[in-house]
Amino acid sequence: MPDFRDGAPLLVAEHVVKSFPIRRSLSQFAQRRPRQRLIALDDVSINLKAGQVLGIVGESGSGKSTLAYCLVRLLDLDSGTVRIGSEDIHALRGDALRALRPRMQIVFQDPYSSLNPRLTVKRTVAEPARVHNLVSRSGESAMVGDLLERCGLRRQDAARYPRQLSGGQRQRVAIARALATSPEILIADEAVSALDVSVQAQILNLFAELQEDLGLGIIFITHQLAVISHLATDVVVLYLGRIMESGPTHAVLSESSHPYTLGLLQAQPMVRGPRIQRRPALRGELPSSLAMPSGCRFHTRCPLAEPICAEVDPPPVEVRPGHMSRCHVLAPSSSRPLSTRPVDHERQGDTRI
Amino acid sequence: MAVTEAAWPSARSGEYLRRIERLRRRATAERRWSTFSMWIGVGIVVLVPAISALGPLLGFGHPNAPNFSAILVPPSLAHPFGTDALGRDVLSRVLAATPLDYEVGGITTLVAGVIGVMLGGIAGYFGGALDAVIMRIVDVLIAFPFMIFVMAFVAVFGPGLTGIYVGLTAFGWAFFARVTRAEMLVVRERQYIAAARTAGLSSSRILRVHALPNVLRPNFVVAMATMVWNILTLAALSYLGLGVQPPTPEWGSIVAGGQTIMFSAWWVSTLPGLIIVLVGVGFSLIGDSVADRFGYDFRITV
Amino acid sequence: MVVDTNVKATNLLEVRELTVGFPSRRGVVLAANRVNLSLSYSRTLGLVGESGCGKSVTLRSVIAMVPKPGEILSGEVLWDGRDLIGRSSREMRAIRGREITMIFQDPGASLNPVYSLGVQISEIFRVRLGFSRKDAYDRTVDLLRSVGIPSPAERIRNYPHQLSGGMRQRVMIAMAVAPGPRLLLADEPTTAVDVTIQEQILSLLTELQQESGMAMLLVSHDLGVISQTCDDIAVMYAGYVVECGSRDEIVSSPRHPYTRALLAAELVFEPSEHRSRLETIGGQPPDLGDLPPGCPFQQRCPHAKQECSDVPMVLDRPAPEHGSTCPFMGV
Repeated sequence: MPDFRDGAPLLVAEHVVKSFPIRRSLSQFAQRRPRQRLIALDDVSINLKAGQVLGIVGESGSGKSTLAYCLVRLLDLDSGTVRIGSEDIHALRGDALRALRPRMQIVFQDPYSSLNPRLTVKRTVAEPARVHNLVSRSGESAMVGDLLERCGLRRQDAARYPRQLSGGQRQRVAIARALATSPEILIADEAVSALDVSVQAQILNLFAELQEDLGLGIIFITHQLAVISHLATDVVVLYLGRIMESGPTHAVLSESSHPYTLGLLQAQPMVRGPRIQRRPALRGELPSSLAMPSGCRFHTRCPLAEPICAEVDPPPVEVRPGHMSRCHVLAPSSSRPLSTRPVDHERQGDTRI
Repeated sequence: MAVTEAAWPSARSGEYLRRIERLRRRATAERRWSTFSMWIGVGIVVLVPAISALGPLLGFGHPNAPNFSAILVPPSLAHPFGTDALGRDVLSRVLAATPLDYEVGGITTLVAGVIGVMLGGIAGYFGGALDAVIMRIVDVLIAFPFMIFVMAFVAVFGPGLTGIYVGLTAFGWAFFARVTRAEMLVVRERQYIAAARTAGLSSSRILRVHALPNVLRPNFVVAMATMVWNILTLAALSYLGLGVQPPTPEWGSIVAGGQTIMFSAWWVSTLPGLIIVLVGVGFSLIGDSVADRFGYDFRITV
Repeated sequence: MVVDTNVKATNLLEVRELTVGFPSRRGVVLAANRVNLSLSYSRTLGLVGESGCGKSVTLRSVIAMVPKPGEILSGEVLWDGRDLIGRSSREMRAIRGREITMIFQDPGASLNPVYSLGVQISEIFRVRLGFSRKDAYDRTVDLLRSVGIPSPAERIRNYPHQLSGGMRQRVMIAMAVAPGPRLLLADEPTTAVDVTIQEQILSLLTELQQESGMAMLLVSHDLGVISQTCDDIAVMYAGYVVECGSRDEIVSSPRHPYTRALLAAELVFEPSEHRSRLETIGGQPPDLGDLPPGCPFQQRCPHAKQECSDVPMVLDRPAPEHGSTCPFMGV
């Protein structure tokens, strides 16, 4: 039985690496070039504790959705582990794996394709529980009714079809479905991004309520920092498959120690903020994961880049308790400031990649 | 009505109101036409066998009874489609042939559909080697000149309908498979499938409950086309003498029988031929308006 | 490319009582309902609202590009004082792509995949503006540079699929400003790109707009984007313009409950550790086929009353003043 005390580790991922093979073109095949792999996640570790909301922030190409899929084992890993409690979910097979599923559920982004259009709300919500024998035929209606009410819908909505519901309502159904197996962990993959602004706030409030009432651990994946600031207790910032900064939300957002986080913060359009500046925070575009920049993968866009950034991949440094960042400039390893000491590789051991 | 009077002050121009009317009429007109053409199709497709069922009661004569005193009589009240070279009433023969043609068309389409949807669905859902193998077979089948294909089965099973049944089914499933697979590739990526996998549902359950029901729609259109196609093929084969044997009436063989006397007794071939076309059009109309309803750009080409 | 801005007293663009209808199963649905807007030279007007509010349809009506089966049912679009509705397609074609240009949400929308960038862009210079081949080429390189494309002389040979989404958006902007338009229409130009690229794109648009003096009509569902880039704002709901005014007025003292609710629902950064409940607007986005009489927002409005069914839905103060359709909000 997992430990539900607040703070007990619920889901721990360590050094997850996930890559995808790229199809070779005919000429590459003929030249016998080895098949390239696109590395979507490079040494990603997260730690979700009971009662916590962990936010995973990243833009396109950051690997955040891939991470979600790896955490629930919809995708296999190249290496690394994902544990619930003490069980490594990627080592399980067959029935043991099936027994694990109810403990971890996902709510997806698109309310228009996350519900089977041919099933009523009731069947959709009840199915996961029925399949795992968590509810009897006779108890179904009551269970579904309770879940719908908890998610802000009416009991009568159980008889409706998805096409009769709005985006926000469908998302509530998706959440109810996810709760049907009484999971310990809920993963929300851009769960509010496809909704109108007025509805987003409703759903976010719902997540917050559920988390308080049920003691769930929630992993919330999004590209909107503002969502994180409202919902997440801790946050992880992903860029090109690697964690750039992580720690308690308050620390990471107000005392950021990574230029990417700072760039994201500045780029968020604020209604009452200043008019758009002529110099955007981050220049350039996301490089292709197939042509990963050397050294720190962020250096091509970084306004603070130093020469060392193009050569050495910055190690994770704990700038404050629980607050980690990978940056030569804002989170230098050991206490030496960069500008005064030359890089001496023999003395500090082999840290080059 | 969507527009509320309370929202307008009095001075709305006449032009504006006329335009609203025109828009509204256009919307309903399009809808009406689509429904109208569908009902025409249904009408044709249902009427022909219905009349056929009344056949003996209509009193035009027995389809197989020769009447040498009434050879090659042109269309008249007693014989709306005239009589053929043996004095048999052509209309009765056409009506008597109806159950046969519908049966062959219907059964082959249904069985081919079931096989095709299952194979195409599995190929699309699981991908990989299974997909490759199934789709290559489909490619070969579709590339094959199908008449020859069906004729080969007839050759194996001998004259009569068995060969035709098997041949049409063995060929027809390919189209269903192709369409189902294409649809499955799309449905597979839908998030309700991912949700089902996360919930730990078995693959067979996911296919049965979530995937297959959602790939069925385009198959309805294919079914209509296949039905038409199969009936025509049966007609063609009988015309060539490879289908039913005389004196069993079948649309194609009826047409064949009148071929040599086309210019003197045009009604023996032409009128039954028109019925074949009419039934084909009926199925096509149904298929087209269904396609319209569901927004597919699928048109039946016969 | 600089426009002479100190001459006219009339507005560059005025939309008056524009009404656009679409046929639907339930009769005619008014996607835009008596919309009034005005835009002066060199200013930016933002149209903001949620899905179904009619902002895109309004934008497209300006250049007579309402998607079928919709139709403009009444109203005027005054461009420099003359009505654009009802002009012949030949006249509209002369205006579109020359005096008024448009950029879209999909970064590749304006780009033909089978031609290189150089060919597509220089075509604008040669065909629409009459430049020689060499001059057109040079101007294309300059243009690509001015929108922030690195190594333009090499990139000019690239095809659209070789560019990232952000780059394609820049090229689309380049093609839109190449003819030196007096008005740029932007339909959700940054919705499909990442937030860091969005910042770049918006910054670019603002820069180009200020340099050339062109006016801009920007449509977005993101109030933050509108607020950062626009001088004036028009808030739309269920096909109506419910509030209209300068950006500062709207943001600091909104006069319509919907605007107020949108502002309150905005996800602002919490400065402290405390996470509070977000203010929300109850209910769902409106169904245009099933609107109540009077104000369409009454079903979700926290201040709704009986009299809301009789509201005539006109702005109490015409643009450019700060007007609202709600008579009950007070000043």
